[in-house]
Amino acid sequence: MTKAKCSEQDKAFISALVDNEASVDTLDVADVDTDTLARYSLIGNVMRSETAPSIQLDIAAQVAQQLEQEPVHAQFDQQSISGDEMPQQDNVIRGTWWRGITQTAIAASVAVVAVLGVQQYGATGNSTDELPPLQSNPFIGAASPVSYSSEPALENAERGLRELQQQRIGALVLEHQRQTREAAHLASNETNKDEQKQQEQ
Amino acid sequence: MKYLYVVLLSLWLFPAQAMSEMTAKQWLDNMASAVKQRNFVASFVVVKDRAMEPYRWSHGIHEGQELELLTLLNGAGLEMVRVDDRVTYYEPQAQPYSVKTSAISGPIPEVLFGNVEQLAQNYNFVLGNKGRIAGRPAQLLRIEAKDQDKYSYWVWLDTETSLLLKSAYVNNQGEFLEQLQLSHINVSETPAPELLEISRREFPAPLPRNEEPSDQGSWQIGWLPQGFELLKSDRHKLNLNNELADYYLYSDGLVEVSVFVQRPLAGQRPSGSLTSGATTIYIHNAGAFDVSVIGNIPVSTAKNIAESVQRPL
Repeated sequence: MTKAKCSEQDKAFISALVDNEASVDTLDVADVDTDTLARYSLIGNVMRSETAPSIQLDIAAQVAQQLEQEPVHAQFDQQSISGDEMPQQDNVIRGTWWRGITQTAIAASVAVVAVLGVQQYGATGNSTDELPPLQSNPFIGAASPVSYSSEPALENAERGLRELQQQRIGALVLEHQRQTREAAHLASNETNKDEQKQQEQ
Repeated sequence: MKYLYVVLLSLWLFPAQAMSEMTAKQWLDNMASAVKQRNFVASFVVVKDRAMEPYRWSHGIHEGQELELLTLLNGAGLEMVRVDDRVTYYEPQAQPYSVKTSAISGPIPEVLFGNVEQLAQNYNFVLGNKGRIAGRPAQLLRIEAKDQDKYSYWVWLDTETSLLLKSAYVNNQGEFLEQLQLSHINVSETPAPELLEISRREFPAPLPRNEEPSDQGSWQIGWLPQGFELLKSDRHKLNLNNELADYYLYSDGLVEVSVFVQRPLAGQRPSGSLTSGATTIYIHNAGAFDVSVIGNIPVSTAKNIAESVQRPL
């Protein structure tokens, strides 16, 4: 007899039977779902505080007991060695995982800085529209981001080149400034020469 | 008889008109002399795109000596001092040095303190509107480039003192690229105390004038905007990174343009430009050599100059 066939009527009968409110008929009992009967009788016992002391609620102690009885499958020495190795492996895995993230983060921040740097200079608008701003980062260009993030040597080389170029631009700007200052006397020289010529004439 | 009337009428009208309204060039000449004769202390800012540079500018005459001090107030600092015709530059990254010239090479083009007549070939002087700048009645004067390869320069002058109140580099769309604006000016009878301190200062001797004729260099610069002439050319090492460069300096009187030819940097680098205010830096990767052009010129002009540089035949 399955539970599905155990109707509400049957349950009411079982309940009455367990509570001694119904007489036992062998034919009826045969029809009764045994699981339901057992459950109901337990419920009745609990309610009447008649539960057997043998019911163990301390599972942890039981489990511990069981574990002690378990046969030893491996030697404890070996287990301790592998136990030391395990966290190390874990660390290594976590390490590479982090490195990947940080590499991407560094690469991204470099790209942002580079783009910002270019925008700072290249934001004059109309006149620069038709002309490409100087691409000081390789992300926009042909260089692949994969090689950028996975090959530290390449990354360093590219960064070095970029720094070199920025340094050169800085040096050129300063040199232009200095030369224009010094040129002031060149220009005045020329006017002086012109005046001299005029005087000679 | 009829002609006599016309002649008399024109004789009567012409000076009247000249008296009532000065020409743009007269305004600029007045400014050049006012800036050299007055005692004043002024503050101004130079606005470039999103950057801003504040300056303090003072000028005075003390015991027959002309004293001028221009100080950049932000950052590590930059001080430019002029005593008569010697200008000394104090910078954080270099030893101080003096140049024998009658105008400071700062954010204001030096030609405005000299003879603007030399600009007449490449620029038109146009009288603009009157307005109010820095709390003063102002007259706009436009130094308009005659072609599209250069920027124009607009100047606002105080109608009473003829001193500079505002100026701007303007592109041919009429956009302000770099503006200089006075926030305060104080004209006084006596020079400011900081100028008296200058008159007691010791200065480095002016750099020797390079009298030998400029070496034309070995590169061919195929194109330059109208009116630009070679001021100098040589081969020298850059101060900051000790890199060797073939150097050419051109000027049209208002702005200077530097052309550097250098060994190329490694790697594939596309050509491109950087701009800051009116200043353009164009770096052209010509394969076997790099050409860099710097100056207060439009990007397209810098590009054309850079791409016109060729190896000697």
